[in-house]
Amino acid sequence: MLKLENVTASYGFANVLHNIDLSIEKNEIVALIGANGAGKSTTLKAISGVVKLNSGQILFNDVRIDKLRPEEIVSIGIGHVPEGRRVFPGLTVLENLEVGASGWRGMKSTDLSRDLDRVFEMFPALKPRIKQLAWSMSGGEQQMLAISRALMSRPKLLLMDEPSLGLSPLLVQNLTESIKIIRENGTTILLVEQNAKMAFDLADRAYVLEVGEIALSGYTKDLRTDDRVKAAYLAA
Amino acid sequence: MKKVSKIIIMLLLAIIILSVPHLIKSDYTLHVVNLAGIYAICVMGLVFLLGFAGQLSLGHSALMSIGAYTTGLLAVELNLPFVITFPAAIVVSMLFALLIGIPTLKLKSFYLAMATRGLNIALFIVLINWKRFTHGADGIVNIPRPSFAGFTIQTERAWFYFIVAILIVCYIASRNIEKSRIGRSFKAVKEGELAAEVMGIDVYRTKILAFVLSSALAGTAGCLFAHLNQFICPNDFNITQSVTLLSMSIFGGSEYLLGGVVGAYVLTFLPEALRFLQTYARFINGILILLIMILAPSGLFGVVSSLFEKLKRQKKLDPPNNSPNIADVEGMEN
Amino acid sequence: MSGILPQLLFSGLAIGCIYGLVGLGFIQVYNAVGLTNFAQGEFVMLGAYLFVSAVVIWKAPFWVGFLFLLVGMAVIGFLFTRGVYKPTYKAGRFAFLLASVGLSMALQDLVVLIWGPVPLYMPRLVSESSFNIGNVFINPQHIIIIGSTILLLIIQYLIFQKTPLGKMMRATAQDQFAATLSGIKVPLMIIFTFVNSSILAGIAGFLVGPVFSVTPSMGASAMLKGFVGCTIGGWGSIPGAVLGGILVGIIEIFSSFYISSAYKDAIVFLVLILFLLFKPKGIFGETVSEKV
Ligand SMILES: Nc1ncnc2c1ncn2[C@@H]1O[C@H](COP(=O)(O)OP(=O)(O)OP(=O)(O)O)[C@@H](O)[C@H]1O
Ligand SMILES: [Mg+2]
Repeated sequence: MLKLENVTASYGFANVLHNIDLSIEKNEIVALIGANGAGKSTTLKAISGVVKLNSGQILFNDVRIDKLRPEEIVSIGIGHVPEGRRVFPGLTVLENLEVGASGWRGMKSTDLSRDLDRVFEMFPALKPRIKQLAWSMSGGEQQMLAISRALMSRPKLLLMDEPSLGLSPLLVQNLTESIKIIRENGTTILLVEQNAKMAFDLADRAYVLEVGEIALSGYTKDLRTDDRVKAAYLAA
Repeated sequence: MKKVSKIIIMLLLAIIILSVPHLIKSDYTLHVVNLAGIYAICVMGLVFLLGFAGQLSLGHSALMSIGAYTTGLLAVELNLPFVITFPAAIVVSMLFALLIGIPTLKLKSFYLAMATRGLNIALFIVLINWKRFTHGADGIVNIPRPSFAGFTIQTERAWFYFIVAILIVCYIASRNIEKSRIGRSFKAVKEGELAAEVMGIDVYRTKILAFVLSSALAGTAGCLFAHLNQFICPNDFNITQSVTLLSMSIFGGSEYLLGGVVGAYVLTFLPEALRFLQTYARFINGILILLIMILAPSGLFGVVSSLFEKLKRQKKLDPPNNSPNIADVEGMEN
Repeated sequence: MSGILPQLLFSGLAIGCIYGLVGLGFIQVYNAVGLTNFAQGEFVMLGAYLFVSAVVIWKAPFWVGFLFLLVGMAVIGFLFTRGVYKPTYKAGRFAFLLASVGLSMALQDLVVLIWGPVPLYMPRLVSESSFNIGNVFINPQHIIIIGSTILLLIIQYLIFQKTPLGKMMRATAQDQFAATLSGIKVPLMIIFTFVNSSILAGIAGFLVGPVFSVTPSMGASAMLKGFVGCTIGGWGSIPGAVLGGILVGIIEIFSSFYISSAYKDAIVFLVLILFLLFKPKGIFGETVSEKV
């Protein structure tokens, strides 16, 4: 479904990503793990068209997308839940969701209710809070909102950047369940995580990124037993 | 080797400077050269503030007017000599800078910009309307020439040497400050206030110091202006004049003291050369600022120095790939 | 004598509405891109000139003149985004600010070149003679100003709170990165923001034209006062900016009457400095320190 081929990207001078090859099949959950500063978020930004490539290409359903603008990428079905949630603080919960839908559809955001129902079904906690301003919500609620906002654009592929960050173990558990449901509903997921244990529990396959290069990749069940992975990411 | 060439350059420069008043026959032209020198002093103050410390003043001609009116009133009303009125002018302009700096420099940077513009407007109104004190729109006339121990600086030629001497003193002092710890703390504040604070720099005080020093140079310029022209009126120091001073500093490159000096001379002479365009002066000036900011925000010196760097780099190795690759989503960095 | 107080309040309110509109344009741009546009005052002036050209010079009907103003200001807002904002916003902290200062100066001269230096007369919608309610004299234009401002504020409220476009503009102002990832065309939203704020400025010029005369410098002091209004209201608060502007208008009228009309702009400046000294966060309290 998604294919990164030889992707190299940089902010100004220094290259941050070197020759990244990565692919995701339909209905998979693929994890991307790595240390701080390894380039995980940059990879997601490259897919979303926010960071342009120096070389290489990105294919989505066999069509090149690396020249598209960010909003075009959303509209062809790639959603992105950014690192640190970044809900719109001064907008209400409902407005956050509406913006998620209208950003994708343009000005005419009709037929919202079905999408809203779908989202509230997954995150019932949001429903009674639709009039609340987003900044006043707890971290866990904000994460649900951020995911819901991305789901409003009916993504076929959802990029999630460290959704478990700052959540209590119980909430991480809930989040894990939600992500599973999102996949069952037919959305493919690329999950960036520091919490490697959670990522390995969820994902079918994983890539390990080290200083901008793919160091390892494979099925999670195989990676789990890899000594390097164990030492670096699963030690606890 | 380097030292020798430096000395030769200095000598050449000295000869050129000393010969200027002999090459220029017309008193009027020399007068314009002298005015440009005075503006150069004020523009160095702007470089201090904008280029070094990263603070913007839109009202430097107001600070000049403080210096001019202080010396003018003291000299005309109280008959005080230049050796007293000159430092008084500087001190009073520094006090005004404190007055404006204290409430604004704690806040976001556009407050100083707007407050100095406000000062410019308000001071203009006061100078026009407080007739008993400032003589209103008529201005102050017959401001005496400065004299030291019986020698009066009378001719334009004498003024030329006088102004160049003060300009050089100001330049050397400013250059020394730039290289000192204070100068480095200015630049640290410009780079990022939070980081500067972490380094142990008192950001607020540093900004105030930059503004006060800048105002001292403006006051110096204003004082010289009053004694050179022997007449000052509120219109010499309006908003347009402030913006002209700013365009001088950014034309040369607001991070370079010498850039400011060059900018002052060029932009004082340009309108003289383009006399026939006089009616469009403000229009041209405004467009000039706009274009500099769009095309070369680092000014003449900035462009030249980055060209030099490019040449240097090409001599060494292949140039690094420095194409900015962040997508052109406007204002992405909040 | 008893009539003088309500009368001053009423004129202050009317003039203050103008400053409120200027401040509203200021704050929308500030919220969206974190920059202050020093040409905002000249946009006020341009609005007045556009209307006068259409109605007085080309003898167009009133409503055509107003339409011309709206379209003209929208075009100006668009050109401003493309020609000034876009090339400068990345080039250091003051590039945009200085560029807008340069533009404002150029525009003041440009209108002299086009329309001449003589103040122009702006036709009125209503009669010039004032009438009185009790012993309060009322200038009909003041009623027009207050009424139009209220109408405009309602329209702005509806746009920003109720339409998808308005919500997307607010989202963009709050977090451009998140807005981009939500599929919003951020550059377009920024254009809309500038267009909206220049239309507000243009309408302010249309409203104030009959009160002051239409001159090249009419925008300069309106800008300072709009800014002071935003400061009083606390940068970031939209109702604060409008109320702050109204307060500035009232202060101006009162100080003209009780102190001196020649010094009124200087007094407004004094108010700015006092506010920065004692209440830098404004009445509505928004954090303004550099570090946020
Ligand atoms: N906007 C930017 N400008 C310049 N350099 C950047 C920018 N964003 C990230 N970088 C650099 O790129 C590298 C990769 O950053 P990235 O955010 O992709 O890391 P990450 O793997 O997501 O780390 P983390 O786990 O901490 O989120 C880092 O060295 C970082 O400093
Ligand atoms: Mg990251």
